[in-house]
Amino acid sequence: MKKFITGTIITLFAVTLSTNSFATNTVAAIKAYGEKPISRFPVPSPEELPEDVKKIFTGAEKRLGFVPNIVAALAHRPNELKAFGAYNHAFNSKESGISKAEKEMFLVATSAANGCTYCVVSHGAALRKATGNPFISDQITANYREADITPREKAIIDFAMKVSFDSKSINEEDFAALHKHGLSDEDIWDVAGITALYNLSNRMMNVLKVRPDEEFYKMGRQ
Amino acid sequence: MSEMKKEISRFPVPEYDELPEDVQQICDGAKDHFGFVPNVVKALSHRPDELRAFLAYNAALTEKESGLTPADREMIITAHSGHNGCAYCVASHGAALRMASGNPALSDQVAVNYREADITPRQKVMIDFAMKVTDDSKSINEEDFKTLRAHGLSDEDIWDVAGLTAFYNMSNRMMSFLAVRPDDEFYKMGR
Repeated sequence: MKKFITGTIITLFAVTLSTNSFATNTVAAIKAYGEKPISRFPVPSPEELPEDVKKIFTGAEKRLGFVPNIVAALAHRPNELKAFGAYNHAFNSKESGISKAEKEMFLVATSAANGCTYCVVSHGAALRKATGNPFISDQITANYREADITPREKAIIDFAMKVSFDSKSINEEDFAALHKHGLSDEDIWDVAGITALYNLSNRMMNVLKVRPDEEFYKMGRQ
Repeated sequence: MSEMKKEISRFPVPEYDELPEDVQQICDGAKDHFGFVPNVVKALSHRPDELRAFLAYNAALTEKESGLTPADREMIITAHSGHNGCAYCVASHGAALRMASGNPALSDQVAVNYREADITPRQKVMIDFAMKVTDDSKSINEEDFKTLRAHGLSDEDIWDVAGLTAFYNMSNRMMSFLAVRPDDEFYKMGR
């Protein structure tokens, strides 16, 4: 069993970190692209944030070196930001047979199919880092069927695409196909659950038009 | 077919006694409210952390001031859940829509084709937008916001429509994946 690796975009919501260094560099991070808005909606300034949301910002900044625009954009609705963070954490704080790279792969593939720029750029960065392969995210974004991936990875992405585009037709054959590649029923739930959550996220990022952080474009390229 | 499966979920459903205390309280609260514990709660209680996050997200979207009425909300959910083919969400939110609107025919209309349903122009544009969030969120633009504002929605109301729709697009997928069986009680409510 592989445990999801911590320390990336996904775990930035784990509100385990708390420091008092929250202030100036966060402001800079939020306002970095002044003429290019982060979101269609207002983005709160750090001093306006409730204490527990400040901790989310601080934790993200500590892990990534900046506060990602998804966090800044969702902070307009603190309760929704916290619930999204808790949902992510539920998946990322558990044991799973799905590796970190596999997870980022199906998130990139489904997010690309949904046209979610923010999710492709941020999870594409996480996928490059998880695999050490600088080309993999570009391949999967364009067409995972032609990417350098294993048959197991392909089967997992096929299923995530079915969850995204035809969930009403999911049936026992889908489970059987994944069992053949070594997935347990719990692993299959992980794929479906994370895909479902990011189908939510893809839509919110598109509605809010959240601007991808420039840092993500550069990560893991060399 | 000689036999019909009537299972609650494709996955194991824990017994009440096996549940963490706070999840037992969630079940108790649901029973007080509905008179039964809905199968969505039973099915998701296989993963307590996900159940808690699911309910917290739902509460964040619904337990707040909004320009959307309860009937508006249930209409939006019923329409795109019907479109996504989520039997559980249509049955449960269809029941809620009948109760909220007092109209016993409305949910059947909205679940099949909201364009032909007895709804107001404002409700129609809200559902149009929810359908765009569901099927083509990448194309959302300022024109969509203008259309909704012209029908009296504030930007916060528009977020409410989008947020609810995005959340139930997640829920639709989970319910279909788990094949959660609609509770018989929902079919009868508000008829």
